[in-house]
Amino acid sequence: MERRSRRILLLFIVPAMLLYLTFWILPVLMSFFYGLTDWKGLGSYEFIGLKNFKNLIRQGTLVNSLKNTVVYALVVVLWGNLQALILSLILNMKLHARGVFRTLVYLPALFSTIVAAFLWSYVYAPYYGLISEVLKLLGSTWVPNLLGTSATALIAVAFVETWRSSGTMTIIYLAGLQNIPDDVIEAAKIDGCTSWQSTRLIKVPMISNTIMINVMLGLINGFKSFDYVFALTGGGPGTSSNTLMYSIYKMAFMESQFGKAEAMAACAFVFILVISISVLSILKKKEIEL
Amino acid sequence: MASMQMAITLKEKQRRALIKEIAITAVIAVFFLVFLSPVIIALSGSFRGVRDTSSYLYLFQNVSLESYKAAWGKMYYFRSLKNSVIVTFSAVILLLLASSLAGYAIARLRGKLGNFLQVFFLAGMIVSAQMSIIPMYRIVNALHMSNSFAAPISMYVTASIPFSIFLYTNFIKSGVPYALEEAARIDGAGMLRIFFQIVMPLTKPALVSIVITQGVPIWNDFFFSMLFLSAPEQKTLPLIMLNFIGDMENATQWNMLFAACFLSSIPVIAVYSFLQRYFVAGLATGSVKG
Repeated sequence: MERRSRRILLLFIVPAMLLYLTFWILPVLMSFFYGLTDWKGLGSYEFIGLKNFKNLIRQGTLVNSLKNTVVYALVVVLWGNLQALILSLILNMKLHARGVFRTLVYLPALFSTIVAAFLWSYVYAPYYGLISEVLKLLGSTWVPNLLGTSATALIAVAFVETWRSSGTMTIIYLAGLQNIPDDVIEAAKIDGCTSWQSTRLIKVPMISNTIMINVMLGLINGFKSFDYVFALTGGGPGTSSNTLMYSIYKMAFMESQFGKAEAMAACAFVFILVISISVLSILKKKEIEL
Repeated sequence: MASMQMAITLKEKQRRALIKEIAITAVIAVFFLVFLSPVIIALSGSFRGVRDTSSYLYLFQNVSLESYKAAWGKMYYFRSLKNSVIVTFSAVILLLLASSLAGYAIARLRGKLGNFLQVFFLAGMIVSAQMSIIPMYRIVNALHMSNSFAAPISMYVTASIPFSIFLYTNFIKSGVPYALEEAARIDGAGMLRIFFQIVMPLTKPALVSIVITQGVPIWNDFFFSMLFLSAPEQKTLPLIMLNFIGDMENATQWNMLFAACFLSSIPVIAVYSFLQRYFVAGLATGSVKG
């Protein structure tokens, strides 16, 4: 009986496993394989060993994309979490307009990435865009082109990501805050805690689990950044906003360098794996200390 | 005397609390005004005539539905909406079935195998679709699925499987008592019946969470449909939005672009306004218990 039910349980896993192996694991293994070839998408290909990897390093593509991805992820994780944490602390207060604010905060999350990108490409547009118009209104003659300037393009793109994901992060933080028992906060108040103290010393440590989830979500979204780069800058100006995923896409689809693209993908895979595992273990350790 | 004084201080306290609340509410209201300014401006812009190029800072002047009409036609609205509905609903239903069956089985498998499978599926979170597009493309072609909805649907299900299984397994482990299933089995119920009649109804919060956290991104995604659907009449709403990308260069097309943004967002906004509490609950379950 026990053995039979175990066999049925294993059967339950089969549909998900088939999909997962066919469309997720097999492609990853295949891409590692193509990374060692000079395949151009058509015709035959040859094994060229680690040449793709050497080229990626020598041409600086790998380092540049890695650097951009890290900057992007840092903006998403740091600014995204700070913004969401502050918003959730405020929206957790007993305000009459709380319900309205909670509805509003989630609004950007309802737009698709492509719509969010369109809205923000208007905000950033030089001359007639929102930022330019407001500056003009304030009497400034400065016409910033945030997406068209190498120094700011990447940050401007990452900011759109934090704008759209802030609602989700805030709601997750709110759920964490509501899980704190009221009597803990009450007891702190009676013991003379100011509200800043109870926020810093009680609320934030007590939602460390939620912080971990949001940090991981931000990291994963940051490392996978593609949509906004695709729609807003196309990796430019130059290669200043080329992230890992966008570089891979560009190499594969616009330059037909499939082998090289998949070598890049293999690097990205290892990189994300290492970062995810180390961040998880650091956060786990922190949690135990708290 | 003393009680009167207490009454005064109580009133004074209430007055201070009220002032504090008004101040905080005002600050947040201003924040949301800035935070949502791209949405407000775009909404006002969408209600302008197609050729109205006056400054966007003049909100809701000369209201016209001309831009909506133009966008409606360019988007083939009902066709795209229908395609989005077909793709999203099929993907979400298949996802719910595959991930709940597997998630349940993993939770109930004793020994190392269950733990291994949970980690094995979870590891898929670090894979991003862009990393292995070419192999995915080849596999889809080999299975004769290209240019049919089956391709993006299978990819959406697969891409959502890692998180969904993780969430479902954790939910079962932490909240569904094994004793119920044991009792049903003694009464002679088969495994499938136990799952669908006893386990599934108990896991509604987890299922809602999967629908919200995975369904909304599937609805909003353009990448897999861009990759696998080339026929114009198969385009989904987010994919058809890419037709407007060239219009970003053209300052005179913005009103129509804004109208298209809202037309493509209306379905999600409508669903959200009716089912807001499910959105909040779904995000909370996904994070706090996940």
